[in-house]
Amino acid sequence: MTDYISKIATPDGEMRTIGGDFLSAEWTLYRTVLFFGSLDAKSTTNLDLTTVIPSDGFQYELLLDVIAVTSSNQDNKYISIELDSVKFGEIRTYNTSSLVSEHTGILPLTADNRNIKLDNTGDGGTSAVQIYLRAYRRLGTNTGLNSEIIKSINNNLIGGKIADGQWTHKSLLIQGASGNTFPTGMQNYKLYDISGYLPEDSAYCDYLVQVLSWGGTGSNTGNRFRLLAAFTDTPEEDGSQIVGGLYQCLARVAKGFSRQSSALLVCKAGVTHLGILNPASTANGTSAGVGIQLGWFRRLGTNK
Amino acid sequence: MTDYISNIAAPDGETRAIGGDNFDGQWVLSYYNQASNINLGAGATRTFDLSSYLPNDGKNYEILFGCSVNTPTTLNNTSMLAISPGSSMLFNIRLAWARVDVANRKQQDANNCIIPIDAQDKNITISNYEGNTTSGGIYVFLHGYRAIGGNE
Repeated sequence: MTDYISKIATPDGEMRTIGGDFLSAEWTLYRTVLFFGSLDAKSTTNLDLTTVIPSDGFQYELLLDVIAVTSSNQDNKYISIELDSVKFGEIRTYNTSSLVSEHTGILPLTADNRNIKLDNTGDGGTSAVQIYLRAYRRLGTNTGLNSEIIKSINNNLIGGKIADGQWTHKSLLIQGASGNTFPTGMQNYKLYDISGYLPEDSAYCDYLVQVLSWGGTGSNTGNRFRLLAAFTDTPEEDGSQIVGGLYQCLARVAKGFSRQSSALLVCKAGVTHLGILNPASTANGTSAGVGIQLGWFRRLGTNK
Repeated sequence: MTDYISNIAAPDGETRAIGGDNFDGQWVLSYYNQASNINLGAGATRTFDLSSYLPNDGKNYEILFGCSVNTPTTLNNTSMLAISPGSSMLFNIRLAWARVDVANRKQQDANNCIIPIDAQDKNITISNYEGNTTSGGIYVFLHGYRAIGGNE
C-alpha cells in the first residue's frame, strides 16, 4: 500500500516498514474442526487452541461456526451452546425428533489465553456438536512504537487504508422473505451482485460486512433448510467455494420453525458478489421464504 | 497518544498526532447481565443505557453480546429478538427468532453479535418487532468491548 504509507525514516537513518505488530492483521480464511463430539446436559469441556492459534502474546478474533443437534431420545428438553459463556445457539426438542441449531459469530481470544470453554447449559443432551474455525485475525497491540522511531513520513498521512475504518450502516435488501424460496442442492447457489454497495476502495481493501437473514421452513414435518453464505465472485459449479471458503450458517431449522440471524462476513478486496447456498439434502428441504439483507460494514486495514 | 507516535506532517502542512486513538483498542472482556427474563409484547421495544458499562472517553466502541429469546406456548406464536445501536430500532439487526411448532410447548433461540456503539449515544434498543410476545423471557448478556480507532 505504498499509496499511503510504507516506509518511514528511523533515527538511525534506516527505512522501516510501519504496520506489523502495531496494527491488526488481515482476516485469514481457515477451515478446521475445533470440536466434533457430543455434550451431555449441563456439561462443560475445554477446547485447546494452542496448536491452531500461535502463543504469541496477541489477541485474536475467531470466526466460529457452531452446529448442535439434540438427542433423539428426549422430549421437551433444550440445548444451549455457549463458548466462553457467549450464546451460539439454543433449541428445544419435541417428541423424539432431533433438531438442529446453528449460528456463527466472532469470538475474541485474549492475549494470554488459548483455550475456549464449551458449555451445554441446557437440560437436554446433544447427539452431536460440531465447531468449526472459519477464519481468524490477529489484533494489533496499538503500542510499541514511540516517538523516537518516526521522524518523517514523506508528507503522507499515516492511517487511512492501513487502519480499520469506522462502522457504517447502509441497508441493502437483497431479497425479502415473501415468496422467495430457496432451492436445495449444492449446484443451486445464487450469486447476488452487490456492486456499488461498498465504497470504491473495496477494490483493494477487505471489508467486514453484516449479513442479516431470516426465514421459515413451512409446516411439513421434516422440512428444513440451511443457509450458507460467502462473498465470492467465482464459486465452483457445485458451490463448493461457498462451502469451502468463509461460509456462515445464517439459519438452520426443522419442522415448521422460524429462524433469523446476523453474521459478520469478510468480503475480500475486489469481490462484488454474495453467494448463498442451501445445501440441505432433506426431501422437501426448500424453505418457505428467505430474506437477505446487508446492514453494517467496516473497512479492514491492510497492514502492509 | 503521543506516548507512541509523535506528530507527522500532513499534505496541507499541518501536523497531527498518529497512533494511539487512530487505531482499534484491545478487547476488554467484561461480563454484565443486561437483561434477564424480561418480556416484550408484539412490536414492543426496550432501551438500555450502556454509559456505565463502556468507558467515558469519547470513543466509539464495539460490543460483544449474547442473547436468547423464549416463546409463549401458543401454537404458531413466534418470538423475535432484534437489536439496534442507539435509542431506536433504526439499525434493525435480526438475532433470534423461534416459532411454537407444538401446542403448549415453548420454543427458543439464542445468538450473539458484535455491533458498534456511538460515543454520543451509548444505548442499545431491543425489540420483539415481528413476534407475538415473549412470555418465556428475553435475556441479554454483555461480554466485552473494544475501542474503535478514529483513523481520521
